[in-house]
Amino acid sequence: MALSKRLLGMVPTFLGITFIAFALARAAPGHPLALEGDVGLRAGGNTVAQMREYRRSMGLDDPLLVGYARWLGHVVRGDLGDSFRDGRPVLVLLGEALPVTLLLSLPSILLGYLLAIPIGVVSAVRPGGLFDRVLTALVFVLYSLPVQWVALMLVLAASGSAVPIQGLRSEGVRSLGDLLAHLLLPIACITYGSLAVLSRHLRSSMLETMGQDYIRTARAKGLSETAVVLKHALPNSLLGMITLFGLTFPALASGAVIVERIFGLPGMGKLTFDAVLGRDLPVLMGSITLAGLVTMVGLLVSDLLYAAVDPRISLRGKPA
Amino acid sequence: MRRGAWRSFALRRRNLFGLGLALGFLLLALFADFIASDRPIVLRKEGTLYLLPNLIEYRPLRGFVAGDLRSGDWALWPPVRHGPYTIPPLADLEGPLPQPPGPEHPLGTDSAGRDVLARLLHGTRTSLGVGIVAALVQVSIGLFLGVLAGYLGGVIDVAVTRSAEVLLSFPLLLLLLAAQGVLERTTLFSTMAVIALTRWADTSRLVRAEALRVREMPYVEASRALGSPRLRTLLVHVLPNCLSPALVAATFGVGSAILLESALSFLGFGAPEPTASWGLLMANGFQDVLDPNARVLVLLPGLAIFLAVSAFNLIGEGVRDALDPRYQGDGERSAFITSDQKRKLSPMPRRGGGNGVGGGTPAT
Repeated sequence: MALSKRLLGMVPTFLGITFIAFALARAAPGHPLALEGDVGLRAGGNTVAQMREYRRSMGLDDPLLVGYARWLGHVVRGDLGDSFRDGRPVLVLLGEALPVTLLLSLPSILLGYLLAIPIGVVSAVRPGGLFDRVLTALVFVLYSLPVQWVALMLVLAASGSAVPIQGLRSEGVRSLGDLLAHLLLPIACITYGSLAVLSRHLRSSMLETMGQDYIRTARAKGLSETAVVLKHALPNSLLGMITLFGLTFPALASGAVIVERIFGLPGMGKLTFDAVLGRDLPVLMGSITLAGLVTMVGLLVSDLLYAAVDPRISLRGKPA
Repeated sequence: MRRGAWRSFALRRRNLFGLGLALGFLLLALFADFIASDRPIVLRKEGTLYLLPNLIEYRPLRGFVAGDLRSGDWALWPPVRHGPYTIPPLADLEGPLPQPPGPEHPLGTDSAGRDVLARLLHGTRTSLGVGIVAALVQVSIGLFLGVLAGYLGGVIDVAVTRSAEVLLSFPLLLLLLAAQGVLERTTLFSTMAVIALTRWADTSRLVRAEALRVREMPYVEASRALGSPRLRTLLVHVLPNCLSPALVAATFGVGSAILLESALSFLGFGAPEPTASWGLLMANGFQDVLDPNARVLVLLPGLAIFLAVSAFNLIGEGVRDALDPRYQGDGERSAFITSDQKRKLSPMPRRGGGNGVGGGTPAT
């Protein structure tokens, strides 16, 4: 019952997400004359008549709210229309692109957490110490680096070496090792940003935990500092990290737009980019909607995880 | 800002370093035309004295090139004698583009033959301009909506919180790309606008949390008890006390807007050609990324972005530490304690006042 309430609370967000996707597409210049002059569309080989038909059936020509309701009706039934460029269903295109982006972002989240935990713990054990200061500076640098720069630098560094810098797999090779080699640089690129956020967060929540009474108690009963840190402070600090899980995803997907473009990976970022470039409205609306939905689900998952891990939290509301 | 806050800001060398760096970039942006221009600062030609031809368009000077000077003419040139937009005539070009660094172009040229140093210098203007304007607009919107939502509550609160939640649900760059993509063509103005219109959500959350805290303060209660109109209480007592998180959000916002502008421009949906923009320069270098001559086109704009963003982030951290009561030891919790800018979105109940995530936001 509590869960259903939480799910119900997602409905307005869902409406908001889809509304923005629709409003954006509707704002696109859609006058047939504008379309006829559009190079990107002509190159796609689609006729203006087809586009008119799409705009009519999807409600893009109706008044805003009427059109939105009409489009939403299609979306709920799983009909996102066909791409203007190659006429394939948008759902199929999204189905092909999403796994690629997940292939980048899930390992990247995992890697981010795995690296952030030791970094955060070590920094927090001796705040202000040499190690903490070096890491703080490093993390600060990571914060301020533009993704496209890091990606291009990696491309430059790897050019001429055996590490592949384009695409998802080599011509005619279908091995796991090859795939991993292709993912190496892109994953490195989108991990560094979340690594910075996560390790900073863990550090500050560790510092806060270390000031709690039960830590003093643990120390007072003579536990070693290692035991205090790893058994008492760390698990409690990790709880807060779970809530960041849902937020990491949109950040990663943002990074993926640039990383996929530079490394030529056929994921959500590239799909959206190509759709924008070619004024492919159906694909654009579809990918924006999907990106918003995935984030929403990510937030739900992190809420559920949080409730599952922390006995003080329940979906039923504030504990007495 | 309170005097004590400035003192604790100035106490740290790195804060002052960030401030100095930012001021340096600001000066570069303001005086770019005096550092790199293909027109002199002062010119005497055929008996007429022209002041600031690098800024002002003089009709007799159309088509002026450096070689036009005769005896009796003189000119005071900026240190870099190239403009960011000057494309040399094809006949003057030697070798393939982009050109490597040489005596004529200290950092080489881009693939259209334009001087990289001049474009880098003028790019400061684009980056800082977009960054600062977008951040100011974003923070104004966020402050306004956040204070209203936190203080008034009710329907307004729900509307603001929900809208912010929806905006924060999108991968930011994807949303910006789509918003820019549906425009007929992108301009610097549209770039600022889309950044500001999407980024206010973060600020409004911080300000709202602060307003919720301030609302319960005795002085607000006193103001109400004295019979002040709601608007007066809001403007005189609540708003000024919610400025701290807005100030912090503004400084961090400049850095993040600079990053976003460079990313959008890199993708071709930010600053339009031929604007001198760091992101566009990198896109230019990306075209022939494996050409050794193009490396400088990628390397230097990236470093420039890094330095500019770092400067504003350093200031942001300094301002936050200086304004955060926790660092001044009076134990009062404010809304922006977490060390990162990301915070919890969902209105789910949280661990009661524990971990510093979204501190100040009551569980609903």
